[in-house]
Formats: sequence, structure tokens, C-alpha cells
Amino acid sequence: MNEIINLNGPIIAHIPFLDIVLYISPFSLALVSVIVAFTIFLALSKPELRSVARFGEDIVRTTTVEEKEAKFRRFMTILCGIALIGVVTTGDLFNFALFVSLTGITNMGIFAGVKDRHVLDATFNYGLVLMICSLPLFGGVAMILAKTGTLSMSILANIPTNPILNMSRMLLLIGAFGEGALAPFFATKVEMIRAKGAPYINMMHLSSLMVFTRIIEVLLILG
Amino acid sequence: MPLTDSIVPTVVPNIIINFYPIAILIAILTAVIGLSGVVLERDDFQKILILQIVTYAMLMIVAAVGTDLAEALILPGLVVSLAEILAVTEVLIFREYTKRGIKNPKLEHKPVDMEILKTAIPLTSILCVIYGTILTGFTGGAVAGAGILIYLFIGKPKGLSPRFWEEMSGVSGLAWCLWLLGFLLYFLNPRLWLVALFMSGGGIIIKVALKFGLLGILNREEFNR
Repeated sequence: MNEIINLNGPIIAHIPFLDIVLYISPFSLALVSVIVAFTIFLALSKPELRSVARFGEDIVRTTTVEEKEAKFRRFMTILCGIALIGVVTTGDLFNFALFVSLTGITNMGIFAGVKDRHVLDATFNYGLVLMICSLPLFGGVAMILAKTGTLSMSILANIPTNPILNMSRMLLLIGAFGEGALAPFFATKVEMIRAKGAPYINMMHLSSLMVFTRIIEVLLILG
Repeated sequence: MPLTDSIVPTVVPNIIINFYPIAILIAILTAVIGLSGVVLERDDFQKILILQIVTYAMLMIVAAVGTDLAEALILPGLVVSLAEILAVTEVLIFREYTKRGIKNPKLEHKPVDMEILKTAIPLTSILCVIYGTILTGFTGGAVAGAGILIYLFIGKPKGLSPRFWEEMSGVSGLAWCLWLLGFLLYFLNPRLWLVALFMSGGGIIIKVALKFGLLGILNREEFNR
């Protein structure tokens, strides 16, 4: 509990959904407000009109996203925002893993309908990374459960660290890197954001940022 | 070298605690087999199929904990892995259509061509249904549903119209209501626990068995269009 208070400031409120203990501190409140503001901004905005100038021709074409596709992407963006709110507020380690992987799946959903071969290739590879990285993510959580017998972050904060816990934390970190398309896996992300339909694809950046911030906080709490 | 000596109750035998590192090692080996798919396979579809093994390794690590909580955590893990494989497969299908420039793909009826479907005895399905009825509950429903599936695949269910199967799905919905009513009765009046148990047990077996039967209808309706 001390670690959480040291990192986050005083806990303002608990939201007890039976086992699923969500907590709100000044830190997570700031993150939630950023996510909510960004999601509302994206949900209300219209898809971009992109101008494509082709080499050797004297024409500039304007392309845009179809209505149906834009609706689906907007829906996925809102879902991703909800999953991110779960990521930053949850106090349960397994729910954290579930919300992070939900973020990954919804991120993939935003790009799934893009009619562009390169983007679809990159999305496919990102999906493969997601499938691989669910192993270290959930594996790390399960090993922490096996070692300490609990998944609650407020109890885990009081348990002193040891080599096996450190290994589990390492696995958790690798898993979150893969699901959030962070450092070693960002090549797919760079390809994916070439898709047209600008406002929605920015959700990917926000989710990477939030997953990164939260996984560092979780690792510090567990330490 | 028990990893979890301090928190495991004393009633648990030592040999079971010692199984934990072995389970983790087997899971890691499974994951290595799965990951070899990325390195060795060139076909994208094969890649997905072999990477699915990695998610089994994840389930094994969760299951190795071996408590009630771990049992409850397996289902969300399974759902997440299924959602991921479904999403990746959808992306793959859409990419192939985009490559070939097809807008509305036509599905062709390609019956599953396996030798076992021709040589298996239809009696297997009857045995499955009978055994499932004896088991009752969710497991029994799954076994009976497997029996119905076997009948759909190996038998020639031409006499059954799609209307019949739709009525069956209606029965499934009613059985689900029976299940819910059983639970409600149990909470309202715990003294009637035997009636409530039979209501919910009987309801869930019919519901789950007929849900498996639905796969057969979906299969036929999809291709008949």
C-alpha cells in the first residue's frame, strides 16, 4: 500500500466490483482525464481528406474513408479508450493483463478494415506479436500468483521482492512491450500508421503511451 | 525445491508441489515448439495455426498454479487467445481479398473429406448422448453436443429440415430459462435445493447440447445461400 501511495499520492476512492478493485488516485485521475478527453475528441471528429500526388502525373487525388469503415473504426476507438481506462485504474494484476491484451485487440481492429496491402501486412504481423506476447504477459501474472498467492496490487506492494518475482516482472514487461507495440516491436506500428483516416489511428499512440506509463508503475509497485 | 513452500497448505503432498517446476518446463518447451512456426513456416495460415500452440503454453502456465483461482483464470485466458486468433484470421482473410480485388466473396460448399467420417459408426453419437445424459450439467451437455455433432457429420441428416433445427434452438432458449429459474429458486428458498439442482442441471444439459447442434445449422445455412 505504501508503494502505491508513494507513487500515486493518496487514494481518493475505491470502486469495488466484488474482486475487481479499481482505485482512483491523483495520478490515475490525470491519466483517465487525458484518455477520456482524447477519446471524445476522436469520436467526434470526421475522417481526414488525404491528398495523394502521384509521381509523373499532374493530378492530385483526394481520398477518404467510406462511411461504414469510418463507423467501425470509431467504434473500435471508443472500445480502445474504455480498455485504456481499465488499464490505468485497475488494482488487480490479472485484470491488468486482460485489459492490456484487450487494448492490443482493439488496436488491431482499428486497422483491420484498411484497404491497403502494406497496412494489412503490418497489422497481420502485429497480430502475430500479440499472440506470442500473451504468453509472457499471462505467464508472468500466473507465476506471481503461484509465488505469492495473491493478485491484488495493494497486497503485492508489501511483499518483499525475490529472484522469482523479479523474473515474473521481467516477463510482464516483455508481454506489455509486445501488446502495446513498444520498443522492439514498433516496426509494425510505423507501417500501420500509414493508413488513411487520420484521427482514429492516433489512438494507437495514446495506447502505447498509457500502457508504457502503467507497466512502469506496476513494476515499481511490485518491486 | 518447492517454489511455493510458504503459502501452500500443509495438507498438499510434497510431490504435487514438486510438479510445478516440471509443468513450467513443459510449458516452455511447448512455447518453443510453437515459436518454431514463426521461424520455419513461410505460409501465413500455417504460421497462425502453429502460433496457436504458444497460447496453449500460456494456459499451461496458468493451470500449473492449480488453485480454484487459477481455474477461474483459465477461461478469460482462453477467451483472450481465441479473440486474438479470430482477429488475426479476419485480417488475413481481408488481406487476401484485397490482394485479389474481390469485393463480395462467394463461399463454396466444400464438405470435410476425411476417411473417418465415412467409416465411423453412427452408434458413437448415440453412446455420446446417453453418456452425456448420465453425466448431466455442463460437461454432460458438451458430451451430448459432441454426439449431435458426430451425427451431423457422419450421418445423413436429410430428413431434418432447417425448421426443425430452429425449433431446437427455441427449446435451447427455454432450457436456459429453466437453468436461470433453478438458480433463482435456490437463492429464494434454499430448502428446495434438490428441485433447484435438478432444474438447473437438466436445463444446462439441454441448452449446451443444442448449442453444439446449432453449428450444424449454421454450416448448412451459410452454404445454401
